[in-house]
Amino acid sequence: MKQLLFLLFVLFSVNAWAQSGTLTMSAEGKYLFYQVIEAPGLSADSLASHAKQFFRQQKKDLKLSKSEADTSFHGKGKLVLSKTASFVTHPSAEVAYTMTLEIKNGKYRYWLTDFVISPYMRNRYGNFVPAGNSYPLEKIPTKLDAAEWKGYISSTEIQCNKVAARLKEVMLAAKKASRVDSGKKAIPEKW
Amino acid sequence: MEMIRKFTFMAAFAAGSVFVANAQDSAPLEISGSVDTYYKYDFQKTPNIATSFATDQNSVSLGMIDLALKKSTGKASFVGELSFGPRGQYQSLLPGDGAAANGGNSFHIQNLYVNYAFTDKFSMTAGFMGTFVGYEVISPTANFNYSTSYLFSSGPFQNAGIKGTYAFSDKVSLMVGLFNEWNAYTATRGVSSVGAQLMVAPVKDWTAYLNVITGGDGYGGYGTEFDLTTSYQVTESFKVGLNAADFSKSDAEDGGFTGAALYLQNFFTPNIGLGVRGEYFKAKSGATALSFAGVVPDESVFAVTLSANLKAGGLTFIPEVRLDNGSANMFFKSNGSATKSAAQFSLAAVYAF
Repeated sequence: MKQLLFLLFVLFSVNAWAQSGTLTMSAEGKYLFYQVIEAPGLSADSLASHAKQFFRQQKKDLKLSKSEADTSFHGKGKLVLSKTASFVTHPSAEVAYTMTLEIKNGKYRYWLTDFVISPYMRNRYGNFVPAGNSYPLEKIPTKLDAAEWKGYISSTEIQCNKVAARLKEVMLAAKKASRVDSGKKAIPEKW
Repeated sequence: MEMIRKFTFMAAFAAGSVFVANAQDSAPLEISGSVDTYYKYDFQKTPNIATSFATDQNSVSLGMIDLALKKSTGKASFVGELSFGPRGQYQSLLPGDGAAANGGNSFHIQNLYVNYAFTDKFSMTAGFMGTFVGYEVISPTANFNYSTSYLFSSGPFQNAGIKGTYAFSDKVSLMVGLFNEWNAYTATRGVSSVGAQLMVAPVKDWTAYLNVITGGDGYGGYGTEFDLTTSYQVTESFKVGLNAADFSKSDAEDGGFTGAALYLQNFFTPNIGLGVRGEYFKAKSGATALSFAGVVPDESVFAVTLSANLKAGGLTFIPEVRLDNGSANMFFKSNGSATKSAAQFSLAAVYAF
């Protein structure tokens, strides 16, 4: 049932194909950042190889927790949100999330969801650290924290787009590499 | 002495390595801070409870304006934190360098240190830092209660020195450092203290710090403090904290203190929280024993503080009621006669940015 709802959501999601992704509410009532990226000319094997490279590069920010048959990768990550007002900027919260990346020949899709926000506080050394309380991003804010919550959701979307950009860079770098490789193979042995 | 030599060598090696490190990615300059003000009313009409801050009776008074800068470039970073106002100056800092001739000066420094992360696991820090000992801190933005505990008021506030921290994993780390005496910009007895902190996080949302500092203290002599600070986020909204500490002067006749504080806090929404602190504190006995925050040798006090945190944007209101009950007459009634108990109400406004 959940899969069906998810598929329905995917089918009717207009934003999913946009270049710059947006956070949308899934049929399950969870925020979701979903995109499908076309990678023509790239095999599933190449994409899988570069997906692994992507997870390795993220180090502590995103850790691979499970992979299935080199076509599906699951990771758990953390986004750090910042509060910026005029010239003042500092980290304001971190958001834990899960990421699923699925691969087929010539394309991949991924989604970030299960967002849990932990607001930061400044500790005794002047560094910002989680204050301790954590809340699902879907929590309905009160009047008191409505503006703050809106800011968190907006910042989370910005950070999701940064993850998306990093992922795309690695996955499509593979595309460039593959093209170079295929180019070399095209050079005649005798000339 | 041998340990100090080894540590100094490590520090020198570390400092040398900094200069050969390549320039790395630079993060934006972080600017943050806070402003706080309060009103307190003691029901005996005299400022009875002598713990830190919230000291003024029947007065709308200043806490401090606190300004912190942080900058990271690659593996190197610095923090500079300045504070102005009673809380951030004479109530938590020594004026100037402690010399009588410089008594009219204040450096206003709460934190001023540099840090270098040699690896993901090992970093070193040098400068003047908020102490690693205890549960509560000077900044009102990091405390749930506005008035402070006896343990906080009697222990160190800052430690100047050099320390190395090694993270064995996300769940265990160890810090070891050499420090001046407590709360001193300039050492008057040399680098006279050794401190260590073992952090363990046995399960998710439970963190415990085992701290020790031994050597020059803040009372003109030498002593050793053992401290346990731990907190457990039981649910997404409910948190339990515990601080237990024991301080002994090197000469037992000079006394010391011992005590424990339990913190229970619940946030009903992210912006509305209610918390209670219960604390037992005893000043040790001895022929020349010291008094701590109004608690005389061989006497004790039990204090209960009920606080709310009401947040709106960067602003937090902290209404608070506090009842302290001593083992002897250690407070005063409005007519000047001695009494065992004291009660106060306070309302604080703290803005963090």
